[in-house]
Amino acid sequence: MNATSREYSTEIELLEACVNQDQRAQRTLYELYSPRMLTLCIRYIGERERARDVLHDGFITVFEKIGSYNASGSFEGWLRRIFVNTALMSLRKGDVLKYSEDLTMVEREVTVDSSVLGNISSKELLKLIATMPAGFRTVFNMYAIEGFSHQEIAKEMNISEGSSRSQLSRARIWLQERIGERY
Amino acid sequence: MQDTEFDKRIKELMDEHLEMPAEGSWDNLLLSLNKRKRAKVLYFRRATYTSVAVAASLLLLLVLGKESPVPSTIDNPVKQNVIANFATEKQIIVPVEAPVIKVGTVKKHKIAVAVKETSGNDAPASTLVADNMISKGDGTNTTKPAEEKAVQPSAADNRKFKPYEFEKESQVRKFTKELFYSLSTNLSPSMYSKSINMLSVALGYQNDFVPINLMETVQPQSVSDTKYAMPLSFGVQAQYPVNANFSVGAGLSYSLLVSHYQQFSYNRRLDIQQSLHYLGIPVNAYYSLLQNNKFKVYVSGGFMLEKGLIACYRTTDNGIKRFESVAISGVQFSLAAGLGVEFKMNKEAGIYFDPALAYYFNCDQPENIRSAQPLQYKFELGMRFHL
Repeated sequence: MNATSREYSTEIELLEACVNQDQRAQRTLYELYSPRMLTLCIRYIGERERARDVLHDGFITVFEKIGSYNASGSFEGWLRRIFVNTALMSLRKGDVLKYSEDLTMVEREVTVDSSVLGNISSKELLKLIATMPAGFRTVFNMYAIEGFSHQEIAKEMNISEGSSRSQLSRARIWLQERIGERY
Repeated sequence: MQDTEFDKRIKELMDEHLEMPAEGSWDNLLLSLNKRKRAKVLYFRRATYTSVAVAASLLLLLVLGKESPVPSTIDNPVKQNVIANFATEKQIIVPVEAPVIKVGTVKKHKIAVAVKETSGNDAPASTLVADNMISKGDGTNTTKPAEEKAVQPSAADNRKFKPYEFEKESQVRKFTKELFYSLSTNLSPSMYSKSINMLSVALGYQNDFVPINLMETVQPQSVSDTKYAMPLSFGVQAQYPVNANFSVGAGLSYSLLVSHYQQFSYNRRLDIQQSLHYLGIPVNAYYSLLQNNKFKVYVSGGFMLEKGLIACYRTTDNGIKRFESVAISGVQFSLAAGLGVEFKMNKEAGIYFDPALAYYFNCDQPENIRSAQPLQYKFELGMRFHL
């Protein structure tokens, strides 16, 4: 925990205060996790303004449902799941996922020098991910960063597992090409 | 570079990246959380009121819907006996002194009244024969069903015969049976809010229509926010049918109007919740368009006069809470017209749904949803009892 959470010695203490709707605790939790969750939202949504709205809606859900967190897994994992769901809901609302490309074949491979990824900053990488086509971006985020399986992705996005795999491959190629072009 | 390595490196970069939210985002979130909390309380209250109204309606239905074998208006020393006879069906009560039995023909209830021969003593009519059973007045106390042997009272008998006044009673009942009574819950699905912020005031725009490019650069400073909750009413009404299709009704109706006003500035936060309580007399006319045993479709129109009972204000001014109530002067006048449907549950009761449009005239009442939005769409739901 950082300096903002000095009043709460443990995470459990902070969460208990949030369950009791203590506004100071809620603010502490917000300050603690909002930068990471905003990054997640931008990764999924692409647009910064819409990502802020998703962050807002996500935290409302978090504070309303915090009582249902049972401490069996990490709190951040639970939090991430809520924000991923909120982001997916927002994408579905905008019919963004509906029109994502359904590709079945990947015909070429692009190799990226490992040193290239060492040169790119996290900010630049985030910008690149944000400009990815929505379908690629969602599958790539869910698989490569959040660690969902293709089965879970297929269920969440209402696509086939094959489509999820092909979109992931395309996303990697797309990203590697862009990185290769710049560095 | 392997895919897994590539993914791992991307994940590491993304995990270490922190994107700072915009300034004031926590305040906006807090505002939304508080609004939702208030909305929950409001919905809980509304749900409670509605449940109470529905429960009261059902309770009344149970009480009024109970079929009584004997008209409740019979107030007779032998009422208990009559009830006992009906309960034990074809059982006969034998008169003590072998009275002559006279039969009073009663249209609906078919109750024969046994009257003791007026032989100088004032003994009360002590025996009744229920339904279709009759006792012969020959001293043998034999009985036969009325269908087998109709007893025609003679003129002399008629003089002595003192039937219970069922005819008169049935006339009274005939009149009251035509009246309908209704219990209603009225929800107007109107919600209205009005926000004024400095940016919109300055530019002459409404809150929702501030151009996006300006929203990017200028953070609007909200100065006031007024919200009117859904009006809620409960009422009772008696309806009198003028003819087969046309009826008129009048009743009593209670309405609750809740509004919420917030004002923010740099050094002050004012929060006022206003609750207005009204008692009104609705007068309506109903014209039936279609009706059968199961349902009835009708149009309705009328007016309502409402007198404000009290206005309650809960004020929080920079954290200092205050409660006050003041009387409401004047009368609110409104006109309403609608189309309704009644589903008949049985002969005595039905559920009705009466959506209507109402217009509330400006009658110098405290600011409420009716003054903000004079044309209101109302949903009246209730039970109608045909007694």
